[in-house]
Amino acid sequence: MKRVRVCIFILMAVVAVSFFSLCRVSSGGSSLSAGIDKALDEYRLTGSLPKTLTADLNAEWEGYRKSIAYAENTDDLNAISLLFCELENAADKDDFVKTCELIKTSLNLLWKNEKPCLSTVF
Amino acid sequence: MLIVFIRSVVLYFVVILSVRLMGKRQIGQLQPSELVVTILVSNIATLPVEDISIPMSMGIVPVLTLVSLDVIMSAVTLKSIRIRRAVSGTPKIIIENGSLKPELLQQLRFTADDLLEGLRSQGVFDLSQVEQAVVETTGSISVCLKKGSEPPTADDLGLKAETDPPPVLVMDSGRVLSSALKELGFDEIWLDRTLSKQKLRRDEVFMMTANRKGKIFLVRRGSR
Repeated sequence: MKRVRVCIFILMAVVAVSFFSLCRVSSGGSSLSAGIDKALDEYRLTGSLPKTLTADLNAEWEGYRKSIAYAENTDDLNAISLLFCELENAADKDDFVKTCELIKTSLNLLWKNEKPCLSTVF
Repeated sequence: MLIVFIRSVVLYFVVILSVRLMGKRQIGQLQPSELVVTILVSNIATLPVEDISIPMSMGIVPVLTLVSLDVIMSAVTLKSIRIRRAVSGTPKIIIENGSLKPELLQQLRFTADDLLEGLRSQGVFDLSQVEQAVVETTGSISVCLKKGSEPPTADDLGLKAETDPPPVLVMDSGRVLSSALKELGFDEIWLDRTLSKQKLRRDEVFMMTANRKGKIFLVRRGSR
C-alpha cells in the first residue's frame, strides 16, 4: 500500500508540474507578446528603432527561456533566441516588423504545442 | 558529451527507481500490462539521452507516469476481479482430464509446437502423462501430471519425512550477517564457536548458511 501511495503522490506531482509549466508558458509568452506589441507601437510613433525596449525584451526572454527549458525542446527555444538576437540588430523598419511578427508567432506556437487539445494530443 | 553522461546517470537512477516501484513481481513474471510498461520505459528512457534537444523531463515524466499507473492499476486489480480479468485475462485450461482442447489451443493461437515446448520446459516430455495443463495469464504453462506419472512422494511410500527448516545465509565474503543470525535465534558467539570447531577463522569463510536446527554449510575462501 505504501508503494501505491508513493505512485499516487508521483502522479499528482507530475500533474501539478504539468499545469505549472502550462501556466508558465502561457503567462511568459503573453507578457513577451505584449512587450513586442509595445515595441512595435513605439517604433510606429517615434519612427526610430526602440533599442532599450528590445534589449529589455531580450533579457526577459532569457529569463523566460531558463524557466521553461525543462519542458520545451531546446531547438525550438534556440530558434526563438536567434529571432530575439535579430530583433536587437534589426537594420530597418521591414526587418524589425518582420522579426517582431516571427517572434510573436513562435511564442504562440510554443504555447499551442503545450496546450492539451485534440490536435496536439493525437 | 558531458550532458549525455549526466543524463545517462540521472536516467539510470530513474529507471532503477521505476523498476523498484513496480515491485518484485515485475522481475519474475510479466503480466500483459507490465510487459507493455517495461517495453515503453526502456524505449522512452533512451530518448533524452540520444537527443540532447529533448528536455530530461520528457523522459522522466512518462517513465514515472507509466510506472505509477501500472502500480495503481495492479492495486485496483487486487480489489476488482472484473478489472483484473479485463487487464490480465484469465488462465485457460487447455488439457482437462487428460484430453486436449484443440479449439482452445486455436483460440489462444498456440501451435502444437508451442504446447509441447511449454510442457518440456516443465519437464514433461510425454503429452499422455498430463492430467491438466493451464495456460496462465503470463503465457506460461502449468502442468498437473496424472497420478500414475507423478514421482512418488514420501507419503505415497509411507515414509515418515521430517521437514528441515530452510537454510539462511549467515556469512557472506567473510562478513557476518547479524540480522540473519538473530532471525535464526543464534548470535556471533555461536558462530565463532561453530567456526572454531571447523578450525576456521571468519576471514577464511567465503559463505556460510545455517538453519534453525544449527545445521551449517560453509564454503572456504579459495576452495574449489
